[in-house]
Amino acid sequence: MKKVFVVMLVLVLVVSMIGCSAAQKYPKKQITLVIQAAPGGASDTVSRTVAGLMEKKLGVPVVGVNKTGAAGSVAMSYVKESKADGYTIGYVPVELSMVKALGYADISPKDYDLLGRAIVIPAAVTVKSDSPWKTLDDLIAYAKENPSKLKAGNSGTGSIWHIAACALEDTSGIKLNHVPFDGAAPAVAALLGGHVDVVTVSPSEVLSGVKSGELRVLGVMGAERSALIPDVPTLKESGLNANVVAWGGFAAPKGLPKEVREKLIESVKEAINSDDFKNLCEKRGMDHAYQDPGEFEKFATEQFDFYNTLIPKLGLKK
Amino acid sequence: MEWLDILSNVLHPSVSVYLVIGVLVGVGIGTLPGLTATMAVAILTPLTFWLQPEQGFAMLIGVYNSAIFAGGISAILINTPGTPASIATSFDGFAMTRKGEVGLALGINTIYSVIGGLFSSFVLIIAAFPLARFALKFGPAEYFALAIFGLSMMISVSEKSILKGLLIGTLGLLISTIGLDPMLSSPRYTFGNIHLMEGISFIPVMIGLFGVGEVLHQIFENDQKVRSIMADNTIGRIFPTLGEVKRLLPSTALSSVISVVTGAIPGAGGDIASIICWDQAKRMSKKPEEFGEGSIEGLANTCLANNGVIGGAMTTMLTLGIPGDAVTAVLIGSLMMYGMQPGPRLFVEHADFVKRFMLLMVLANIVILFVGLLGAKLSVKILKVKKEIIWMLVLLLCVIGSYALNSSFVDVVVMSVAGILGFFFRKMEFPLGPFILGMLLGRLGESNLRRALALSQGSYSIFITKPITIILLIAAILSIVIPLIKEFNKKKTVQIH
Amino acid sequence: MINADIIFGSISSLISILFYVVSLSFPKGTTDGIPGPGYFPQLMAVIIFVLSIILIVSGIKNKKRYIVLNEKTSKNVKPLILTIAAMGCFIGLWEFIPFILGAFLYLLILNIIFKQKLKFAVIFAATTTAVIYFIFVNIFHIML
Repeated sequence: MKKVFVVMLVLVLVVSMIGCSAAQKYPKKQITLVIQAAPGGASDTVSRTVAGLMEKKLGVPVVGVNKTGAAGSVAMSYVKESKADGYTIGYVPVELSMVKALGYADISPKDYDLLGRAIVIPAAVTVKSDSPWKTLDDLIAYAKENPSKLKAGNSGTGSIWHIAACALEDTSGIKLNHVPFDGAAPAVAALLGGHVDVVTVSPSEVLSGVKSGELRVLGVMGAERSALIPDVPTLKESGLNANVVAWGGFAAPKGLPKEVREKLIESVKEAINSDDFKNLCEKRGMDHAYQDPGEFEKFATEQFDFYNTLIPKLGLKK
Repeated sequence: MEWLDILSNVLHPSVSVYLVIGVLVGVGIGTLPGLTATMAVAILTPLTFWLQPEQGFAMLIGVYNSAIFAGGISAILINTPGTPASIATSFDGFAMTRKGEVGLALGINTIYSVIGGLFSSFVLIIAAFPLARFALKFGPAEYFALAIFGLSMMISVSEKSILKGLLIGTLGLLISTIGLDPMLSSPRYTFGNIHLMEGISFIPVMIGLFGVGEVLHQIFENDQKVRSIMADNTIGRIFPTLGEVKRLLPSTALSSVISVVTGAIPGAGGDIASIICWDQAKRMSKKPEEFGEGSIEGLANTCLANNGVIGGAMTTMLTLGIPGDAVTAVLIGSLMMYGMQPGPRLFVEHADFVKRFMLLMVLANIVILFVGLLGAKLSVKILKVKKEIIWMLVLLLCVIGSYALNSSFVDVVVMSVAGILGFFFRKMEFPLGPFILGMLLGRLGESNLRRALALSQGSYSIFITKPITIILLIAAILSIVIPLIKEFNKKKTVQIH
Repeated sequence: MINADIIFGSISSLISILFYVVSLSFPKGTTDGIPGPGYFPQLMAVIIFVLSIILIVSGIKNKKRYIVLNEKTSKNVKPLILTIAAMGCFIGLWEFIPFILGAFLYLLILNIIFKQKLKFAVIFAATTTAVIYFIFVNIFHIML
């Protein structure tokens, strides 16, 4: 009898520990921030920094959880299907607008209550500095004369940096030999080792090579020049209409209560616009680009439409 | 600043205390299966931002080195590699524990991990640039040849039956094809499930096969009269004898070089290096039959290899700004957070910091030496606990560890299936080594074969026109053919008698 | 009892056939000789099939039994099956009951399977669960 009593006592204790939650205002318990990428990368750093800053504002722990897989679809699907109570939010990268077109998961920006955009990372068209191509025009002229000869390394078929190379092809009428690598860093290593001729990845990935004089960035594919390499012109300046950028923001499941939504939007905004976060962007080579939920939704939907025309055209739909 | 000043700077308590903290945290994380060195560094990185760069890096360097070292402890004590880099450590480590030589196994793990770490740190100090240049020569064709070279070891890790080894190894290769294909990203065998797109993750499989599989095996073979895993409660000596050290010298010297180079090659890390070194040690050994049955040569070489990789990986990271492995990818992020862009300019602009970084590598290994040797006695206490308690802890930690990796329930399921398979593989004399090898190298081999052919536009000549590729492929062919010839000769002699 | 090698060989040959058939629907390689997504799995499937057949043949020749039930091991079959069942239940209920409760019950049941004293079992299960929960959730920030 005594043994049974001990077991019961422990069970009651355990259950009450879990069930413990009084009726308070939001937020009353820990918030989970689902991150679609592995620890250590740009998405992870942005998410964890913003989580830390939100924590100060909201007064409850905001804990980052990494759930990788299928270009972020695993994490984004998880957030989409979570309860819209404000206790599960997620980081949403550019793939939010891409995975439907790629056929990974049925996800669109409309499935979420977007909370705010944080950053923008343009694609940088990079070659070796001992290569004959001094400007983007040189490169395009060469590619036109030698179709499919130029070996373009990217970070994986269907990844944003592959799409960037495709967009370059599309707008300038050239043909490249796309060689996918397992992420951006191996592609840059292959460029340095002379195994590929050109890569289209983020400026921060090639920055050390640029600084040491081994690599040359011919153009960035953003709407504006990158703060990291301000001397390099955008493709638009060179007369090419290719605008491919990676971006990242925060989102919650659709249908948050009004009060919760406002609180989250406010804390995300404050975190992203803080000096700490701006500092991080500068150091990690990302362009700080806050947008409020309204603008962000418009932007993400435009991107969604753009990729849903471009990707099927490129024959990448699975 | 000169080296001496820098040494006194990093020895200052305000820096060295973080190094010691890092080492201790690393030991904790490294021993827990499922918590990897990458995770340890990633989790600690945000905590280091309020520190000075040398303090922060003292901690991160300490964690990285000691987590890899500590992965061997759980491989030796409970046959569950704490990190993937310690897979090969479990081949011989646990067998030594069962033989009652657990003290020696832990001693060798400590001493040779430190030797590997120190050697690679010195390479980092002396030859960072030439080594990194060499590593860049590795393009898709070379990676493919490296994978083939690795796969050619399937035969020598096949234990009793080459047929079973090859069969299970090819199954490992087949499983590695599940997920989005590495070139075109078209889904293979995912059946529309997004959780399978990334493929079957390696670490849950490893934890299941080694951890749960081993426990189930022990439950089945349980002798009620024996209380703990070890036959008796003494740990034996910790230090190897001078004769043993001499015997280990040639193979470990070669392993040091192999592991540093492997570390410097982006994308090839401690898991691959330690298997390669285990295999080459076996080939050089006078007693190859002891390998897998508790050979100190096998153990020492794997322990040396996984720590020897670190200096190599750091070399590529510091000189080129390209990660040599997953951990250094995270470290690049931390360097950038401190406003330092890794690359050749770092050696000019932050010369002092680079020197501190190198000395911290050396010091971390010295701290590990003390922690490891002092801890050897302590960690053996684990084995004196009743075996049922160890079983329960392993069964729980395997579930949690596989979940913690990616917060993925699918990984937990994969782990438990692998665990049950691990039991049957053990009972049916299917060696685990080839399976692990297949899963580990399948993607590397396949993606680089196709990538190389994409570069050469379909011409296979890319594999026979590059010196590194040719050397690796010849080595692969030799390591397949020689054991077969030996086997054949053995059979012949048996028939004659 | 049928030979275990024959069983394993049959299963692995079936797996290889399954993988081969599924791979036929994968996109083809390009015309200039770069292998497509199906090439590698098909090659592996063929090798596995051949090796499986060899295994089956050698299994017929040598009738070795791997899982031997003797005086020692026959007592252990029950705890082995119960352990696997307990792990299955723990994982099966993973998404439905909170981790703390699940882990506590899992350890408690394992204790009973391994014939530990009940008082020890309760204390061990409670403290272990608490410590592990604290380490993973509070220190490593991993949601369980």
